[in-house]
Amino acid sequence: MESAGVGIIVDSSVIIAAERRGHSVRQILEQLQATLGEMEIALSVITVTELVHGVYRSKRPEQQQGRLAFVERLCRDVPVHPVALAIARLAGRINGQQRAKGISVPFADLLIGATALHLDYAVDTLDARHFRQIPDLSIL
Amino acid sequence: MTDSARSPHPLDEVIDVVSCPEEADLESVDELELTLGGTRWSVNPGVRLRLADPARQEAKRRRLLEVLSRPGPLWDPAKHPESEGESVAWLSDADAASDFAGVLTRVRSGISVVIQHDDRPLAVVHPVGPLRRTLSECIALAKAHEEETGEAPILEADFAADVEAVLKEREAWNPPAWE
Repeated sequence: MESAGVGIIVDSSVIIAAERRGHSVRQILEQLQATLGEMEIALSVITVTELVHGVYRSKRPEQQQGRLAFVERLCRDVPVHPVALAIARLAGRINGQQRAKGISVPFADLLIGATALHLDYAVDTLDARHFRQIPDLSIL
Repeated sequence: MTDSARSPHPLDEVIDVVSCPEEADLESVDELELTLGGTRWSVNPGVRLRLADPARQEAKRRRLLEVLSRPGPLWDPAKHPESEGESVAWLSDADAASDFAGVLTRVRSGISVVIQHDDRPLAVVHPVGPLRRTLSECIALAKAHEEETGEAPILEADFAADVEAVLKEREAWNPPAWE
């Protein structure tokens, strides 16, 4: 585990890992607190986009409603950070500099990582592969 | 429109008249003039050219009338469930003016308040700077929401598989080069 800041941006992979345990939002948060201790927590709007995309992959309206209820509850309970101008600038600089080295960072990971750097947060993810391509980003 | 800045007539009546001009009018005059309820309206040449396609104008007119005739606000949050949630609250300008302290209470909790006039967005009051919340605060909020609604939505089966498929589609960003 690399050094963490005062908080974390939680990646979609961490959220969906709770499915098998059938957890509610509160239970997911309690699990994170038990694992990580007390710290600030947030989501990126990119994660919300991915989760809502997952909602509409289902063709069944009742299933969509259930998934949407979960995502909306998550967004009510956990701060969601937009890609503000400062984050866009940071993401552009990182991508340009990494591309010059021949490194390509997936756009979603880039924006989530830039959001975490902007807030001085770490990223909590189950797939650190691409986030490791973002310099100075702390990953849990 | 030369004689009046605002039409005293229903919009659909105005649209109905200006979208069905006589072809002879379009060909013979430099500036189309229409008379509606005793008021003379002039239409500039740019508009006149667009009016030259009656079928297109009729389709646009019908579409516009259909939109304008819908009951309720043009933007209906109920038709966009993905946009709902407590992160945004919608208030009328009258309600916001009568309880601005309540508006600020919502903003302090991280909610953006959209103030509407006649069902149209007028202004947004939102928190300054990024909202920060600890895990304990989030858990307390989650508990309060569970008690308030009596519901604790959980991740249903297969949702993870669908989101994993989305995550696999994450692709590298290759913006266009300057040169």
